[in-house]
Amino acid sequence: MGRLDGVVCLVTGAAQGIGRGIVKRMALEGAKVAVNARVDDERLKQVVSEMGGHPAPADIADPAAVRGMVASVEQSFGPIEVLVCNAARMTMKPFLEQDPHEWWDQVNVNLTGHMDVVAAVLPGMRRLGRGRIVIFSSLWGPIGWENASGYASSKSALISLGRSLARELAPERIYVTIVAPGIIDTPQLQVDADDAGVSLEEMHRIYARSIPAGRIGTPDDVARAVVFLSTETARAFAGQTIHPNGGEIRGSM
Amino acid sequence: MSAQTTRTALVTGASDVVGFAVAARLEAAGFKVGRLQDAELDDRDHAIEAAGRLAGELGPISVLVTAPSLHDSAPFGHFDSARWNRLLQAHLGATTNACAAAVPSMVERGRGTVITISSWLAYAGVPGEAYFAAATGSILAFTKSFALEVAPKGVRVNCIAVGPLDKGVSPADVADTVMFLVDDGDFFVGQVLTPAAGAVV
Repeated sequence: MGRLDGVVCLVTGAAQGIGRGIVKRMALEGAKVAVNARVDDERLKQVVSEMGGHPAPADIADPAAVRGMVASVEQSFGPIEVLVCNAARMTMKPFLEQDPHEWWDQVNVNLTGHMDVVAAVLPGMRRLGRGRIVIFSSLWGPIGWENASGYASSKSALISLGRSLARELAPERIYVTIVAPGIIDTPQLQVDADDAGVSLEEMHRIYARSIPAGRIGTPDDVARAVVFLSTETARAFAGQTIHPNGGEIRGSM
Repeated sequence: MSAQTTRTALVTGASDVVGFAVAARLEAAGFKVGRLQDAELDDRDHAIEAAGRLAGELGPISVLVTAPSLHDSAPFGHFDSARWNRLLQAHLGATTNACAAAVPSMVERGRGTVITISSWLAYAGVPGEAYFAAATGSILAFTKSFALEVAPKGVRVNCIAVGPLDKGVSPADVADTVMFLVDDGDFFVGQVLTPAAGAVV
């Protein structure tokens, strides 16, 4: 018996990395998982065939596409009880060198895109009379990061969005929580390695040195925290941010 | 669960509601639970002796949960030094003595989990609670530094700052959080988790 037996979940940005790990863990816990990705391609088909779940493609930066995707998930499975706002875009460049369109694109996807997803999913949660929303911030949300001003701004704003929604929605038994993962073993590490001009193995070692746990995290480390916050236990954590980051920062924001 | 995988936990403050709920939940999850009594935590050597005895009876300790059980507050200026020292001992003294007693064997085996229990008052601040907030706050600060010292040795230390128990937070919420950190919290180090049911955001 799983902790999410029969629960309808939607995970955004789930074609790879952490999102893919969440789909796997939720499916193992018995959930009916709608797997969102920007495009309906082989990668999405592969996640669904390997991890379980049902494809729900849509570019979350496109409000009409988001509404259509949510309507289609609801038509097949009923109202969404758990929403995981995981999709993110990140392009690293010094602030003054980054094209403003590229800078805003990150905010438009990560923050505004998820506001549209939440807005599309909420009426269903209200009909159901309960729900959980897990919002992804990042290690860089609370502390910022050089050459990541757009991404970090969006991820910091997502904490404030999560806290405010938590206050607003808890009386309706819709519990909003925030996860701020540290360095996790995802395809992003290859991008970081290429940017730094080192091998992937060397990138792992460089990151691991900065993490008290002595290793980078796995998608499953984060997925297990998301499952915890997807159950009714989320009531106790409404508005809280939790930090699976191996000890890299230990603040309370 | 086979005998081979039965794990042992030590819990302090099990005479109080939070420690009681945590100990009961760990037992329900199949742990053997040793309860360290408050009197055994007054003194470092007593604590080491008591933990050693419990480990001898129950097996090597893989989980330690420290739950201070003394609640005492008054507006600042109203404690004499004995009353303040008693409160600080019950929080920082008992927590550090329990860690000193249980963690060395975890370090030796290269694995273990410690969960210290503090209060939302430690960072929120409330008038009339300066003494209690300071005592619980010392646990937050201790936890973060101690976590960094033992993380490289395979021991994970985290803190639960319990939200207001009279505002929708239950001891069961704390027990749920303990079980999450024990079972699924491998990548949590030096963190403060705050089950506060929205009372503190």
